[in-house]
Amino acid sequence: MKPFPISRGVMLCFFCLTLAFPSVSIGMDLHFESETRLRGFERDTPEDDNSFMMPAYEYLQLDVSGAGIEGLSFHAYGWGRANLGNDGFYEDDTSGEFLYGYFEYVHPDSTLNLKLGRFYIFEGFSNESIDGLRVKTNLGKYFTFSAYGGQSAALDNTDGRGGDSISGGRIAHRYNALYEIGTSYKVVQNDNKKQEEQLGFDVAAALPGDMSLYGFSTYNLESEGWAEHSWELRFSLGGFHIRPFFEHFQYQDYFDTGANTTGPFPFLRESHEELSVYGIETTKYLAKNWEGGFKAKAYEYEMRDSSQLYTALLNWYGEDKTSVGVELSVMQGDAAKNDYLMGRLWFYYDPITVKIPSGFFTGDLVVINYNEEIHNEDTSLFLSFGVGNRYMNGALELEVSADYSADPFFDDDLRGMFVARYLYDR
Amino acid sequence: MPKRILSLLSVVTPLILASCVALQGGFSPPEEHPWDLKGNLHPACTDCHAERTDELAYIDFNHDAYFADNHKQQAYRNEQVCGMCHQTSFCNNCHATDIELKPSIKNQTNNYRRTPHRGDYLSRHRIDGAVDPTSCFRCHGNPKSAAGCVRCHG
Repeated sequence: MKPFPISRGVMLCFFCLTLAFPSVSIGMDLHFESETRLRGFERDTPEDDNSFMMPAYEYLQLDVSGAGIEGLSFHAYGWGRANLGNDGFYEDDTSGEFLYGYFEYVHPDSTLNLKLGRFYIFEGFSNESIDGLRVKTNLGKYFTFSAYGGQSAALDNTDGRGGDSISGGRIAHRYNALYEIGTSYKVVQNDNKKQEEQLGFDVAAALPGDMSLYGFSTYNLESEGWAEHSWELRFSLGGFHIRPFFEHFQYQDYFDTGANTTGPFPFLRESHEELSVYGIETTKYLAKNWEGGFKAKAYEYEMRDSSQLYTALLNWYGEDKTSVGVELSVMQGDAAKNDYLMGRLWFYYDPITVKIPSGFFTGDLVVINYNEEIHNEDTSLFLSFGVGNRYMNGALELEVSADYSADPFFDDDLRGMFVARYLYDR
Repeated sequence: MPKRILSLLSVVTPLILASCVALQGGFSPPEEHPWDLKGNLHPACTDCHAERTDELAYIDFNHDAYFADNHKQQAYRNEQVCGMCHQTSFCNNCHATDIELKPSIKNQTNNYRRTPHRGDYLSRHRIDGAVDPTSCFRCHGNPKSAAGCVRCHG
């Protein structure tokens, strides 16, 4: 018998707590959100062609504050899935993940912020989910500080959690919004072996001419080389908002460099390739409700073939979320097999009418033409339509959508989805 | 090692807590934006705020058509600014340790959002992944988020 995964156990407790909360939450600010998604589609399995799959997903979110201690709150979010259709497509009939669940304390008279539990860290160069503690605060007007420690949530399925740890932090000096210079550090251990150890430097600065400079560089302390440089400028000129950018990656320092790496990309590390990505993005409001955009992006390699991506878009925004957009992208370069042309047309219609007071209709068309055939096909067609309505002053939203794909992997693939979204706020 | 980290934290944390309560100052945005901007598809901070103040370069947070593509510099440095309107569950649509549904399927009717992997990405990822694998690794660089990659890429 398979052991019951910890994440599903936590999800079960979370679900029970959620059901119990309304009865004990007098005086609390409570936000509860439930999303039920029921999908239907066919797949070929080892036992059967066109076997019908019907996965049901449940997403639960709970946010509680005002429970007696000023500044203290609790936040949790996760999902679970059960396949109600035939076997043979999913590795396991049930799956799920406890994405976060933490207590947060914000000191009422200061910038002190504490998190305890499972939470995400997006700062410096870190993009991590950890089970642990983080402290973050301003240290006077000119410095900010954060530190975290615990275990990486991403490593709990690699030989258990014994010997796993993650710690790091960031300290930065800033002067109003004129500049901020930060340095960050992260070390991850998996089964008592170092998975990664990195040092980061980041800068945000206001430059003359109303320009902003943003960037960070990451140094791999294990391989002793620069893993990544990512820098950009932002400025406006003649109503255009312009963003030139530059990124550089050294594969032997960027990909899966840990001695105990568990990722699928070590072959890239061994290639000793270097990639530079640079280009420019610009957007402009052409009229009151019209926005246009253009992006040019070049991918230059030391050894491999180089490519360029060009995209242009035009969006129109109406009342509420009503909007229409069209976009064209071209990928081209030294290798013809990497070239494609992609077009997208979409709409979101949110009419304020008497008959359907708060309903909406959506449509999406994506067509791709590949320069070289993939599985004897050189074209992809993707089409989706959706319709939905809101009830109970927006607390309940029901929607139905369907999408169709004809592409190198699927001849005619039709999928459907029903969504029920319920919000409770008090 | 975890014991060493915990013991270090148990000493350092109280010291930091004590010092930071005494040393206050600097910009800290409110926990929630004073106005609900959820109905606004592409909110422009500069509709109400000056482009640059002593607190923030508000113009760089305008949600223009490409903001979903290029917000990493803002998010890595200003988590609290993002948090005024977006809960972590919103970020988890794309950035998470394990999400089975790709963002464009999970939010199929929210087609005004520039979610990644829209349409036939099974075919297109062969090209995008070859042209720039670093963009795959940024999200699929750990064992959980790479579980889908491992099925074919070993």
